Amino acid sequence: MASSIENNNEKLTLKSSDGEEFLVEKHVALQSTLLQNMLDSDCSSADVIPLPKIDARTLALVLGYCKKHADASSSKQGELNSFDSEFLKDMDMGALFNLVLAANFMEIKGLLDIAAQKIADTIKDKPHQEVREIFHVENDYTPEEEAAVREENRWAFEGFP
Amino acid sequence: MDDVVLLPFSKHQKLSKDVTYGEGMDVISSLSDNVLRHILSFLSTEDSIRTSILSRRWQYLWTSISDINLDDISWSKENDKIKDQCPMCHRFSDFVDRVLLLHDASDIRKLHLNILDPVNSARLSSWISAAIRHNVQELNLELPRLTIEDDRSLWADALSCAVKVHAPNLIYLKFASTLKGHFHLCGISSLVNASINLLYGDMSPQDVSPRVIGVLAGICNVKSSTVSADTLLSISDVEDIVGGLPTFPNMTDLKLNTEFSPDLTGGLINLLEKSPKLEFLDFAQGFDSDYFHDYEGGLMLERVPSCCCFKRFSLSCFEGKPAEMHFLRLLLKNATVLLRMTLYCEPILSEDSEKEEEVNNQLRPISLSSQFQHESSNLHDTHDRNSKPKKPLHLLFKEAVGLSGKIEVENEVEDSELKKKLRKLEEEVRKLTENRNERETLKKLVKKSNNGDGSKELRTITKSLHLLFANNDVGGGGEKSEGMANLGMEDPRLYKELSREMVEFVTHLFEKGYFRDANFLPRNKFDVTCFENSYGRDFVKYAAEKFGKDNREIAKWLSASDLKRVAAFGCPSLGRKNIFFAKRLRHFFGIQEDTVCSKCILKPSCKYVNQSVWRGDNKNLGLVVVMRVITLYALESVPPQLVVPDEMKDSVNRLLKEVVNLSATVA
Repeated sequence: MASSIENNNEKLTLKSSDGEEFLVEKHVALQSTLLQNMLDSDCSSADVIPLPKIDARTLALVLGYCKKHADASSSKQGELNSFDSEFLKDMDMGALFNLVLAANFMEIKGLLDIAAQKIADTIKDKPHQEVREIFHVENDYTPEEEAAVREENRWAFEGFP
Repeated sequence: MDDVVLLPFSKHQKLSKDVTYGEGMDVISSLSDNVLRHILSFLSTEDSIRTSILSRRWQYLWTSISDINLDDISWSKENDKIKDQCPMCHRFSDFVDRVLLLHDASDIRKLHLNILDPVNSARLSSWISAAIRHNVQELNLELPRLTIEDDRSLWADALSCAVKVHAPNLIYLKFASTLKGHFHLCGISSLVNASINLLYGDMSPQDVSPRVIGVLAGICNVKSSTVSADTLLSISDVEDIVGGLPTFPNMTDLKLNTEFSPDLTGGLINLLEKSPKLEFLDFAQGFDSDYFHDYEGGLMLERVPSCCCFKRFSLSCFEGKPAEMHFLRLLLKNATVLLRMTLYCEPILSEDSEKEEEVNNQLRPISLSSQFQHESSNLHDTHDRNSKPKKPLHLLFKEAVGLSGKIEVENEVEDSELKKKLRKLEEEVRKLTENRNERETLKKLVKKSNNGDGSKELRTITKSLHLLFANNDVGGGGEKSEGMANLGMEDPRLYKELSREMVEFVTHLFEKGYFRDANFLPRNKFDVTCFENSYGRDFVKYAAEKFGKDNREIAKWLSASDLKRVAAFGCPSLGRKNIFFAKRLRHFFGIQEDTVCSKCILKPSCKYVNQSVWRGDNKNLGLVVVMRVITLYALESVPPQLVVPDEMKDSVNRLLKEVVNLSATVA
C-alpha cells in the first residue's frame, strides 16, 4: 500500500472515523489546508490518513465538494457557485453541522463559508424562540436573566417578540 | 498506521464519540467558538447581537464580530415608542457605546455607523478611538455634520487605515488634516460650508497634491468654503496632477484663512478658474506683511474677470501699503461687475487721517474710471466682525461718502454711539432696498424683460442708495429727490412744519456737531427743509438721543410739571423702545400704568398694556429718555390715530426750549 502511494503520487487514502477508506487524488486532497500542510511537512509516509472526527457520510460529501472545486478551472466560477448552492440544498441540520465540523477540521475555507452561511441564513430574521427550537438550544437563563439580556441589547430586539 | 502522523489529532480522538450528532441534540452550541463566530460573521450586526438571548453560551459571542454595521434608520421605526418609555436611554448612540465597549480583544475589521441625529463630537471621537484600538481597516461613518482634525492624537494612529466619508446629508465639514491617512470623501452632495485646512506635515508637495485634489473633489458641491495656505500651495501646479482640480459649480463664497502672499497666487488662480459662480472673495487675514507686488499678482487679477459673477471683495487688515494699493488698483480695473469692496482698516491707517485721505484719493479715480459702483454696506456680511478691532462700517460709510465726492476723514474712533445709530438707519435702508428689489423682480417677471433691463434696474437701485449717502453737490437736485422718494419710507405723507422750538433745538444740535456725518445736509450749512422727509427726521431722533446721552445732567433741571404732563399723556409710538422709555418716564413720576393705558387710544395694538417694565425705585431720570419721548412728539412722529392736544405740544415745546437753554448754560 505504502509503495503504491509513493509510486503514484496522485492518490492518497483517507480513513473516516467509522473506518471507511477513501482513495482520493492528491490535487483533490489539496483543497484541504490541513492535508496540504501534512503533505508539505513530509507526512507522505503514511499510507492511510485517518480523519477521526469525520464519519464516512460526511467525508463522502466533503470529498465530493473538493473534487468539484479541484477539477473545475477558475474560469467556471459561475458553475461552481451553482454547484455550491445545490450542494447544501435540502441538507438536514445534522448533516450540515457535521459538514461544518469537517470543513473546520480539514480547513476547507470555501466549504466552511457556504455551510456557515447556510446556518446563518437559518438564524437570520427569526425570533430567538424559533432559533432555539431549530437547533435544540437549551435555554439555561432564568427568566430574570433573559429579561436582563434582552434589556441590555434592546436596540437589536426592536420588532422582535 | 503511523503514530507520528496521528499525533496532531490525538486530542481530538477523545471527542470522536461526539463527532456525529443525532436528532434532538443541541448541535450548534457545541461548536467551537471559532466556528460560531464564523457563523455570526454571516449575520447582520443586529442578528448576531440577538443571538445573545439564546443561552449563556451565546451571551457574549457577538462581542467578537469583526464587522460592525449599525444603522440608525433601522432603529428609528420604533424610535418614538422607546422615547416614550425611557426618554434618556436606549438611544442609538448609547447602543453604539455598548457595542464598542463590550467588544473583545479581537480586531474590528470594519465599522459602519449610519447616524441620523447629530452626535456629540467627543462621543464620535470615542467611537473612532475604539475602532482604531481594534485595528480597524475600514471605518464608514454617515453623519449630518463632521469635523475631522487629524492633528489630534486620535487620528495620528489612524494613518494606516483608509477613512471613507460618505455623507449625503452633510451640511458642514471642517477638515483639518495632514493627509497622511487616506480620506475618501464621497456622496457629499448637500454640503454648504466647508473649512479645509490641510497641512503638509513632512510630506512632499508631490505626494500631498493628489490627496488634496481627492479631498477637494469630494466637496466640490460646496457653496461656501474656507481654505488655508497649505491647501492653496498644494494646488499651485495642478497640471502635474492626474485628473486636475475639480470644478466647483456651486461655490459662491471663498475665504482665505491665511495672510495672502505671492506664493499662494498660483493656487488661488487655479481655484478661481474652477469656481465659475464665485461672487465673494474674502482675504480674511489680509496681506502678508512682507508682501511685495510682482507680476504674478497682476496675472491673477487679469484672470479674475473670468468669474463673471464676482461681485464682492473683502480685504481685512488693510494698511494702505503699496502692494495692497497695487492689488486693489488691478482688482478695480479688472473685476468689471464688482459691486462692493469692503476694506477693514488696521488702526495704523484708520487713526492716521492724512494717510486715510491719501488712500481715498488714490482709490477714487480708479473706481470712477472703471464705473465701479459702491453699494452701501450690507450688515449681514459685516456684523459678525464688529467685535474685532476693525472698523468695517466706519470705513464703508466713509468710503461711500468719500468716493461720491465728499471726503470725510475726521477721526471718529470714540463716536461709536452715533455710528450704532447710523448702522440702524442703514439697516432700515437695506431692508427697504430689499423690498424694492422684490418689487423690481416681480415687475421684471411681468414684463419678461431681458437681462439688460435687469441690470439697468439694479443700477438704479444702487444709485439711489448711493445718493442717500451722497452730497447734494454731486447728485443733482432732481436725482436726489428721486432717490429719496425711492426709499419709500412709511408713506409719502407731507410733513408738517416743525415748531419754532423744535427748529431751534435742531439748529442747536447742528451747531453742536450732531449732524457732522449727515450728508443729506449741504456742507457747513444748515437748512431746515432738509428735515422734511422721514430720513431727516429719523436722523434727528438719533441725534437727539445722542445729545441726551452727552448731557444727562440737564434732566434734573427741567420743568417737572411739563414733564409730568408728557409722562401722563401716554406713549408716543408703538415701538418697543419708545414704549419702554415712556413707561420709564411714568415710573419716575410714580404714575400707575393702568391709569394711562386704560385711556390710551393705542391700547388695542399695544403689546405692553398695563405692564410695568421698570422695577425698583429709580429716581434718576436720564435725559436720553426725556429726549426720546419729546422729540417723537415734537417731530409729530406719532401714529395717526393719536391726537396730541395743544397743551401737550406746548409742554413739549417748553421742554425743548429749556433743553436748549440749559445746554448753553452747561456748556
